[in-house]
Amino acid sequence: MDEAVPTQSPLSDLLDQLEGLSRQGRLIEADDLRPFDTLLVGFESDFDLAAEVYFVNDVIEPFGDESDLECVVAQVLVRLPFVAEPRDTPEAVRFCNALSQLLTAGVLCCNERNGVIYFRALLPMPDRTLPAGVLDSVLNTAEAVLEKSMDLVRSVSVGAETFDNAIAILAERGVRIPRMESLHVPPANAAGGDN
Amino acid sequence: MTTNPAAVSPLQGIAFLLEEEEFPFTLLRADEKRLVDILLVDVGVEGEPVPAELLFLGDLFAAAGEEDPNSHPVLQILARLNLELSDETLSGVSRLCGTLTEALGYGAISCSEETRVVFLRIFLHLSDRTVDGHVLGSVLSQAKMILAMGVPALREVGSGRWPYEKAVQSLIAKGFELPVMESLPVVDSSKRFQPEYLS
Repeated sequence: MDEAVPTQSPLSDLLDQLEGLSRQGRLIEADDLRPFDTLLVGFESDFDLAAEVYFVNDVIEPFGDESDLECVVAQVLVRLPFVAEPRDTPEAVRFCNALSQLLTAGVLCCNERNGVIYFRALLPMPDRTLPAGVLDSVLNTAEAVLEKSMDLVRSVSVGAETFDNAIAILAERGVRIPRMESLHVPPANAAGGDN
Repeated sequence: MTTNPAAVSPLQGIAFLLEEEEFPFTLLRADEKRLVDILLVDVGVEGEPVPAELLFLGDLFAAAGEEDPNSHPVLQILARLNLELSDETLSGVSRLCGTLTEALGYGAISCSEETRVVFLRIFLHLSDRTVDGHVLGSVLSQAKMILAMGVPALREVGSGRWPYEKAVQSLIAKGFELPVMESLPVVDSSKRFQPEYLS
């Protein structure tokens, strides 16, 4: 009888590929407190940050409900090491919203309930593999935006800067929030009225 | 099912998948005015159409002469919402966008404060220019669901009739669960690759 060949978990495979990407990583295996494997991946620049990479299905599975998920979904989560003050949370949410418009992967959010600020990208992976190139591209995107803005996110989240000032400082750094044009025609024009 | 890049163009392949997933669509070919092929998909609800534009970012870069379209296999799904905002309501709308985005999972609902345009945008990072039909159907269904719930509330806040708090109460009454994200413990930065980082 053939012996079963042990296979590495997809996160172990990913860890092996991180060396080629010049990124540090460490696999934290599931335990009693955290019942799913998590791969911690470092940023290239000198942030004291690590991205948590795991499969959302592994988080939900112990609770016995995967019905909301059509396929395997990998999550890349970067929680920033500070939270917004309650009185400043609305402005932090607004600033994160603006910064998210610079991202071509994932979003930057500030939780209204507790002020936690985080970057998150969900990546559907039907065959439960997360290509290292895709992860690298997502992290590069997050890194590029945070490099220019993390100090401002921190300032806005404690009320040391207003939203408008933070946007102005970003512009001085050469970062402009892209314009999104409307497709919708005002009613007067739609009805053939004067322009 | 996945698209077959050898047989059809990537967006045509996605159009076939949308047909199977029963999403109405129109494929617009690139021409003198339109730089790249765009697939329009309706993600509206209750008789109000909301066209989502699907395109590959790589096609845009290639059209600008920057790179091979296959080197950037990111599918962008963009739906611009027809909402009216004022200077006074921008902040509340932006907050509500943040709350809806946390619940959305894939992508974001954003408010461009400069142009006062509210839009949903999702980027799907693919290994190549093909996508699984169930994945796409699931992503579009989720977008449709959050828009069905969120657009009426965004409209009320945008018009100034409701403050942010009332909009959230209205969402909760419809079964919306306010997202929560746990904070990380404060650890020494040298511990960022240790299990304590997550504990």
